[in-house]
Amino acid sequence: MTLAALETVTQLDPPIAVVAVGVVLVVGSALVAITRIVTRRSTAGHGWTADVATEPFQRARWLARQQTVTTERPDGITWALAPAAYLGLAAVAMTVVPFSAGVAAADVRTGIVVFGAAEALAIVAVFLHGWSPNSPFALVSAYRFVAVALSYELLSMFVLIASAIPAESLSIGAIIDSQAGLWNVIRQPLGLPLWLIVTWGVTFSGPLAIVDAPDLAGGGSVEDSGMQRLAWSVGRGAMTVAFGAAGAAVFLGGWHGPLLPGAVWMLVKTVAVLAIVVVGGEHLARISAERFVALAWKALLPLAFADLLIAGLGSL
Amino acid sequence: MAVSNRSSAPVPVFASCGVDGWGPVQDLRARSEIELVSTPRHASVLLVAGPIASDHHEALDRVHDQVPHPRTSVAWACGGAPPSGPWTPHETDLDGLVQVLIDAHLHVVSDPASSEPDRLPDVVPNEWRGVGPFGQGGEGMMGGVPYGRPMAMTGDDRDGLALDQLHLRLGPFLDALPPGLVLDVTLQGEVLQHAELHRSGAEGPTDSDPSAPPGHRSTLRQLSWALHLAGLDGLAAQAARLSVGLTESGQTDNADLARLRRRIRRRGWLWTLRGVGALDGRDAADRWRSRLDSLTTPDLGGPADLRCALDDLGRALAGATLTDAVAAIASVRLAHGHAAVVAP
Repeated sequence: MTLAALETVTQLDPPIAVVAVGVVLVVGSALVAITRIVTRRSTAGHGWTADVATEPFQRARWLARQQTVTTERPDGITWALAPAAYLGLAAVAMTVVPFSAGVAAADVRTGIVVFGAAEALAIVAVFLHGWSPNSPFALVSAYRFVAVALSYELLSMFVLIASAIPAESLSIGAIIDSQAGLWNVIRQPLGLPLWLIVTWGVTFSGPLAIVDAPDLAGGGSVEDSGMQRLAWSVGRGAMTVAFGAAGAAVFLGGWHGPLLPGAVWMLVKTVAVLAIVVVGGEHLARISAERFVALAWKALLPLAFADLLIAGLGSL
Repeated sequence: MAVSNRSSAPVPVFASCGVDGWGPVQDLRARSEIELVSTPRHASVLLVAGPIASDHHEALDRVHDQVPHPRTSVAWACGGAPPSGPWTPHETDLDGLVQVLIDAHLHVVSDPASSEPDRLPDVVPNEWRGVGPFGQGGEGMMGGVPYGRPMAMTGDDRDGLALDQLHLRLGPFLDALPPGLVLDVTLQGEVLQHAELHRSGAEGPTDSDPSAPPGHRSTLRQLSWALHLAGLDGLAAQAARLSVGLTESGQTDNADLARLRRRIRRRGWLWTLRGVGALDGRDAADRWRSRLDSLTTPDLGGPADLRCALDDLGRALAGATLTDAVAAIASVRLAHGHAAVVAP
């Protein structure tokens, strides 16, 4: 189908939707990896050249040829399925985020409910990834993740509902439409910072990188190698992209913007959110699970309630 | 010295260090060509640095076998003392070591058939011996030590739950622990119910570092490692580079140290250590703050040394989460010898 034909449909045909979502997630995952490498090298003072763009692919090629080890009596099926489930849930979350006005994989009326469901099931995928190798560090990392998951899930629920109030709809397309006059980042200023914390939580990166942490010898990934590890890395990158795109859609006005076509604005805003997520994440020390739960329930959840209140008052 | 590397991706290396080799290995964090990974499964090259205690040789063989194929290993006799074992140690400086590691990685990747074979036989350590005369090994048994591993049974914990108790031995080559330290823990969830620290039975040689201001190089190396454990790899590289720079010029560059200190403060690392690992009224944040002060203002006398036994440190860790226990141990400076712990 030609690009002009794509612009006229309200939902993409399933084969095209699968390909489009897949391409966006894989390319985005590589972009996230490159951004992380550049940030780390800049902070370390090593400098970087255009060669870093090939680094994730070199690493992927090395991983593809590395032996995929097995441990003693792992839960083999869930160990193989965990990265697939995580990547699949990232894809599910991505399908409800429109690419442009009228172009979406599945812009359903209950978009943020589907998004929240994918986010909640990701807890199961990450826990299984830690449970399956029958290894103590992986198990402890899974415990840590389950400990913080409810905290950031509640934050995400409230900020998404707050953004849905002015739109009077749970569809992400409608939420974007409601920002035609003013972006949510202006009229609900607490939303985007809390969304950053949610993104760090669900992708266990930045200050919430408690799952695959170096103080746990690699945590959930302690026994991962070869294709297993590659699949998990791609899944994490894909989930980051999905949440970055959702953040751009729900808080930064999605495809609204002067001069450029909507899809280009969506891309620019997604890249901007991803840059903040990755660069900001690299510049914050990791917080422990216990401390984050205390912080979330004492400070961040009240802020989320305040965000909901602001949204409600703004819609009166 | 320029090093050649046909690919830009850093070489993943897992370092198994003896007590003497650990410090020089931390300087590798300054090099962008090498990535020190925290688990042997993520590595392509196993680096054995410094002499390894004899009672840790079997553990080293296990770590070697955990590196996935294609694997290779490099032995480094840093500071002159070679690691004993079935390899030829390289006696070279840091730049030479980086080139050796890169060459070893490229060689084994291009020729996977040259991957090193397993050192230990791939068999179950405790064989199944069927059902015994008292019914052991049968169905419905609870507790005991089947297959040589204590079965997890529930026990009360600090939060009023009754979770399974896992008895684990962490170390001696764990990235998150100082070299040669073994931590026997009883874990419920992530909380340590009981912790015991051991060092190798063999006494190590004393710390000698005549070329740098006393303590600064070892402090920077420990700082680099602790920053890596906190997820701040960029700052870890900066600290390692300052440590390497110390060796060459023998002087500290206060501007660089002050800049590093500012960046550490902005990352909020010390805030995450508040209340962690309290020993004698000082927590990990206090200990690191005083160490950073002693780096940036050399006239400032260091705080009085606190000596406590490993047993006391183990008792202090009971009730802490594993995260906090690791951060507490990382904030403490371990003296050579198997009995004493020196903090801050």
